[in-house]
Amino acid sequence: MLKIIRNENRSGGSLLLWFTMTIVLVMTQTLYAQGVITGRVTDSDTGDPLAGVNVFIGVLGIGASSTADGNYTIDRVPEGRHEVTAGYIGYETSSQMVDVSSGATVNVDFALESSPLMLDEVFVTGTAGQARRREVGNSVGTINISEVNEPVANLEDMLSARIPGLNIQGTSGASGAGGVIRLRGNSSVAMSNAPLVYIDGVRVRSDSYPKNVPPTGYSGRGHNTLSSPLNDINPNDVERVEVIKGAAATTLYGTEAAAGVIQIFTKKGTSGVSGAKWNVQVDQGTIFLPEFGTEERPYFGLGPFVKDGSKANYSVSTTGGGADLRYFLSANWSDNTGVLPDSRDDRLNFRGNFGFSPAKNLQINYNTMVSKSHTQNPPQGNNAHGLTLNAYRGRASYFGTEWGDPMFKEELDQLMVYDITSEFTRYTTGGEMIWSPIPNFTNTFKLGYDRSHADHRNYRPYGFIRATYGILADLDWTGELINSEYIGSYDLDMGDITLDVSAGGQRTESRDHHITAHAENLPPGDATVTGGASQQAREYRTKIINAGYFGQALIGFKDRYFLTLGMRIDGFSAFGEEAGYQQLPKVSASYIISDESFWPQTPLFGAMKLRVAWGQSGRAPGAFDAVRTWDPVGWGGAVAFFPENVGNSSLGPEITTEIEFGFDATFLNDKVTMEFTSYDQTTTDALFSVTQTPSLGFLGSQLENVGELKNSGMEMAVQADIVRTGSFGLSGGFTLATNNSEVLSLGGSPEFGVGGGGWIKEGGSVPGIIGRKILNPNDLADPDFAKDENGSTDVRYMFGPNLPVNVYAGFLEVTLPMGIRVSARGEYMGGHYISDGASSNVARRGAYTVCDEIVKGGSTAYELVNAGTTDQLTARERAMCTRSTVGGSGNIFIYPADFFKMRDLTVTVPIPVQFNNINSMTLKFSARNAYRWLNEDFPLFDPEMVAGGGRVTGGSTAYYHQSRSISEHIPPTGSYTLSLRVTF
Amino acid sequence: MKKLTLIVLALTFVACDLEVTNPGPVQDSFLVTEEAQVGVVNGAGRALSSAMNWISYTGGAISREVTPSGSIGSFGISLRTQEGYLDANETSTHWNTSQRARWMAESGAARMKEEVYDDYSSNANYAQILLYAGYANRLLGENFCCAVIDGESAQDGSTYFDRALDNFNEAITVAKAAGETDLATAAQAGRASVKVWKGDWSAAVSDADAVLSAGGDNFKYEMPYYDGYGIDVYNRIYYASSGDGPYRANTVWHTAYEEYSQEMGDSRVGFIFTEKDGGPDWTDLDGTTYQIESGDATVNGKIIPWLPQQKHDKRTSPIRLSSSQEMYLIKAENALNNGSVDDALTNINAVRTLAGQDAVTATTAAEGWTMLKRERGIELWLEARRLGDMRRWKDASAAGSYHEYETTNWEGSAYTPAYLSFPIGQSEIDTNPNVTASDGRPY
Repeated sequence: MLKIIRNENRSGGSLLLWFTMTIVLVMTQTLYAQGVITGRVTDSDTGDPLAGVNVFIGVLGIGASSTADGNYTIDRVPEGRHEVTAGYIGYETSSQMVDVSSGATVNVDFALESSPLMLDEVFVTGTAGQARRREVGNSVGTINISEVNEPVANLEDMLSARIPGLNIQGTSGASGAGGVIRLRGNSSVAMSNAPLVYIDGVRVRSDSYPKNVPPTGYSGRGHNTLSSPLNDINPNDVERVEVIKGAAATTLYGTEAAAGVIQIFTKKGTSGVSGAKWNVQVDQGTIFLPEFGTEERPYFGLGPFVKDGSKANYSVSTTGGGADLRYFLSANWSDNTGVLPDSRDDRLNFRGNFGFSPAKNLQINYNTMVSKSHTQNPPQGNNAHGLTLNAYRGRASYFGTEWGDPMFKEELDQLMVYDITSEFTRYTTGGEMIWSPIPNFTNTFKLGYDRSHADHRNYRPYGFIRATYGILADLDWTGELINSEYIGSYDLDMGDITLDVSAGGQRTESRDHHITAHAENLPPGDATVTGGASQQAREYRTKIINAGYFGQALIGFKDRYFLTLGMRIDGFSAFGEEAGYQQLPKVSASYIISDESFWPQTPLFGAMKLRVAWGQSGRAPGAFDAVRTWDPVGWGGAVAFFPENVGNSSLGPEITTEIEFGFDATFLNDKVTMEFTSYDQTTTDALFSVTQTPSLGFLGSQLENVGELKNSGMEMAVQADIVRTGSFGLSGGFTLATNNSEVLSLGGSPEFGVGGGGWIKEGGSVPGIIGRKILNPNDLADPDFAKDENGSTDVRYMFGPNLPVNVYAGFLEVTLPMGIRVSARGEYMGGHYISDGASSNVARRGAYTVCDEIVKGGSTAYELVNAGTTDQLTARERAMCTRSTVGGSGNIFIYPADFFKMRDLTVTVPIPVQFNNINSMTLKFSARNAYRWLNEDFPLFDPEMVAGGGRVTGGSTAYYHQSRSISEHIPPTGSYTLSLRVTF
Repeated sequence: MKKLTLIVLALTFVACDLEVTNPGPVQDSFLVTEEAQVGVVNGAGRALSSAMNWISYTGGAISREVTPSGSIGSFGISLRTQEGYLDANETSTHWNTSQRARWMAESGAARMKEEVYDDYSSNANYAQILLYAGYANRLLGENFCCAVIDGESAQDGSTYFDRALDNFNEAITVAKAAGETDLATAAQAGRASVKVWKGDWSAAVSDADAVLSAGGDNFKYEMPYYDGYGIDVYNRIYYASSGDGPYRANTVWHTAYEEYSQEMGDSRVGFIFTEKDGGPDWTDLDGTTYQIESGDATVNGKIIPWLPQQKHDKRTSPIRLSSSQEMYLIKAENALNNGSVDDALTNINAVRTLAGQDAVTATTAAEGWTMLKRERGIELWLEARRLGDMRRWKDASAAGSYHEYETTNWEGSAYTPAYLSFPIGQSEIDTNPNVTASDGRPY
């Protein structure tokens, strides 16, 4: 059968942005200037010039970046007295007052003091208004783009293995597949554990895009991977990321923020340099699939279909402006092919960030992003119509052909006409107005809008081997977030005592609607739903409003003692009628102990900040969870109602209460920095989907505030400047993070599963992995299974947590002569278990290739089992090769999922350039996921190839990854990338 | 003042009207209106059809009406079920859908009576939902060991039949008052089958005669199935076993019905066998050779002949709840109970004549019972009745024998269903504090 090729139109809605860009570029040519500030920035200790330092006039919003020799120039500075500030990572911020005259050039040099703790770095995430690091009582993880050496492919790669407590696990090597992000584990069982995401103050979608699957029939008819909205963001646009990880810090974000908050700041326009500054980057590379399977069956039968993919990324950006308007504009195009046939993803992305200063006490920032992406994958996952499932099952596939049979590939090739494509369009825009009518009083108004749109097409054409007359499903889904916010802040300075009081309100409206059209019995050729002899449609629309008021007081004493008190009062449209408004308090304290006179003034000890924070946040139920409803299911064209939701008028949010404490410190002449945090959080009124009693008619589950969960652990980050002599340098560091979760109480509800072998029971993890435990796996004996309290085989034996308990990451960077740098970053996750559904599914069908490859005395394990002569087989071998044993309740394929992966290895080579106007040219070679280590008890597959989501229906907007299990996927891919970056 | 006003305006801007009405689901309060009752009745009907789907599908595998094959997931038959077990943790869906069918019909009828209709005693909607309630209770009584009503403790399975009789009795009265004679006949046919279980044979025969009188030889009352609106409205036996899908979850191969159909050409138990080009031969236990090919049904990693049943030959194939044929067979069984083999054969052959089949003979009671067991199997094939029949005959120590393929599996090993009834679902045990796992079944 011919593969249907269709033209793709991706020009879409970017015309408006290009028009805007053009207008702005023209405008920037007309701006005028009054004077010039110039100077040089150096290290106060060594006198060495510092490159890349931001020198700016905050009130005006203009500035410049220092060049390699430390020099900077700010043009077009209005006449008058200004405060010029120089800020740089790892150094204390420094400010000077300067008088600028019309037509004159003023010289201002800065000698910055090293300050690895950056106590004066300003945060805005988790606090009302803004606060300096020294004032903040909770831990804040940060990533600055200047610290990211490798050419990252997407934002998840950028966040991965850098901040302790921020854990990103891969899901699949399918094109466009997104990862799963967790901050300090799962704080919810029933609701999303995805952290809230803000971009430049605008709340944006954080849960995955809906899955590409037909609205009826089996919910796995697709490629069973989910795309992440986070990856719509061009990583080259990002300037800085702030991460707050738990309720102690997220209180002011209200009843949806218990899983933490990630705030992304994109680059802003810089002005003052002559003309615009340009940045062009080209990445080219190859994508490969890490090996899995057995020696005799590489890729577990998928080998004939595996190929190397390709990656290409083209990025251009420019920044500039003047006193009144600043801009940052970027465009990015990426085009990748995957490691399986008919797999690809491409993305076009534009951004325009603008800053205006229409009055001296008024600043307006307006940012917009548009992206359009396209993904295509062959059918994968637990899909009987899929490539991977049938390849892994060999003779137990739905073709029944054994691996190695000449017909094997030819038969599976028939599945490749299954066309699964998705178009994603993203539009995020927002602005803020900062107005300071009187000194020390600032009003900030924010408006934001985030629109995500998915256009899925899931097409089995006429003649498809598994649906003879064809099936087509189109999903048109739109998610919108509209948010508004006001914060008023007043700063009072009374000598030793400072008081910052802030208050405001925040409102977020979430809209979700999706319409699916489904047709069967299609005409030959490239069909539409209209052509189907049998047609169905689905429509879901939901709206949720969250709004709250908050207040905060930050009291400082001698600039070393700080106390923050805060409260949010929150309402939510999805609460039950009796739930009312929620009060969420917080309190935190910070103490710069190293500023005390008693602090030892020795090289061993440097700066130290002690901190402690306590706070509450929550997670709200879904749109319909509180209401008793009936599902209008229809029957034979007539109206029909099914019981849907029992309803719960007192349904409210689950409340997570967290306390964390720790310190930030430097040692050994500030060569070593360390951050340490211990946290303990308890979620009360946890929302559980309580299964209803079937004889009472409602077969579904009802959310009830009954449970109690706990998460605790520690996070540590150490960074050391080990050696720095002349042109040679060696630096490195590591992060450690632990997470121990426990279900403290089920509140009287029965134990329940969350899919993929995940189980919720008192004393277990959130979730724990259950199955049948073989107590004597290596003995030459029949399997001895762990028993339950009744002496029967325990089919729900609790192996352990599903989420990693220990996550360690390390990095090393070597600087060589000529500016060459070699950096490496690796990540270990361990202490957790995973259920292997892919192995179980094939073993239950008596076709597990491992049992074919175990040969004792000239007979395979299957032959020995069938002959009843299993003396030479171990208990594990007997269990997995005996169909009646492996087929019983309770998976036996459960393994420790520890792994280490070399996330990145990058060599950076600066290219000396003599061309006019070119500031720098850099060549990078980067390898990702090039090395992997797995626990020796983990066979065949990869812990990061997991089942990916269910069908999105009316009441929910996303599938929540509450547990991870191995499914018929491929592991996350690796890549080799060559990158050229030019700035001019 | 101006600044304060601005601040207040700002706060007002973000302040919140949290009232949201989302379209889609039907609010509970709507169900007490008369306009909603059609949806309530149809909901009960759809629930019953869904329950019938699950019970006929899995019950057919347990009672060897078909040979389970193919996938072992939700569309296949689990390994335990293939071995004859019906475990609580594997049959929650069967329990859930059957209980939902009962609860929706009974609670819907109660709501109509108490909150909706003043003239319920002559209301056609009320009669219809009572009829669904009766058949839902019959389905539960014939196929489940034990009864649990509305979250109460477990009771003997005969409780369902008591409730079914109440439902059918009232349905007959209301349907007649409403002028719905077809509904009244359907309720009487349902009551006849329940009377059999209650051992009230004279009442059963009386109802059977009344049905045959009212409906003649062509009466049938059946659950419809539809193409569209989700899998649970498709005829599941067709959907899961047909070639238009991946599962090919059962095959008529190696069943009594395959043997019989090949011998007699009886379309009531028809199946398809397609000659294949190429592929290996499969030699059956009795020496029959099939040519098979990849894509046929698979069991235990082996390809077996895929002979898809044709009684339910499309997604919209209905499943009968009652029929004139069943009424004849009730009369035949009553005759055997009374020792009259001739009368039994008269009624059995009446059914065979309707199917265009030759008459059968028997001289002894045992032969008569064997014929009855076979004929009920053929006539009620894949209608969720066989498992109950086998249990009822076991209870009554009925004479006669089964076909050898009903007592051996496809590999030739002896096969006896471990249980002849579905258990209380694990879902009920886990959620109903009044029910424990020990509320089991005799067999």
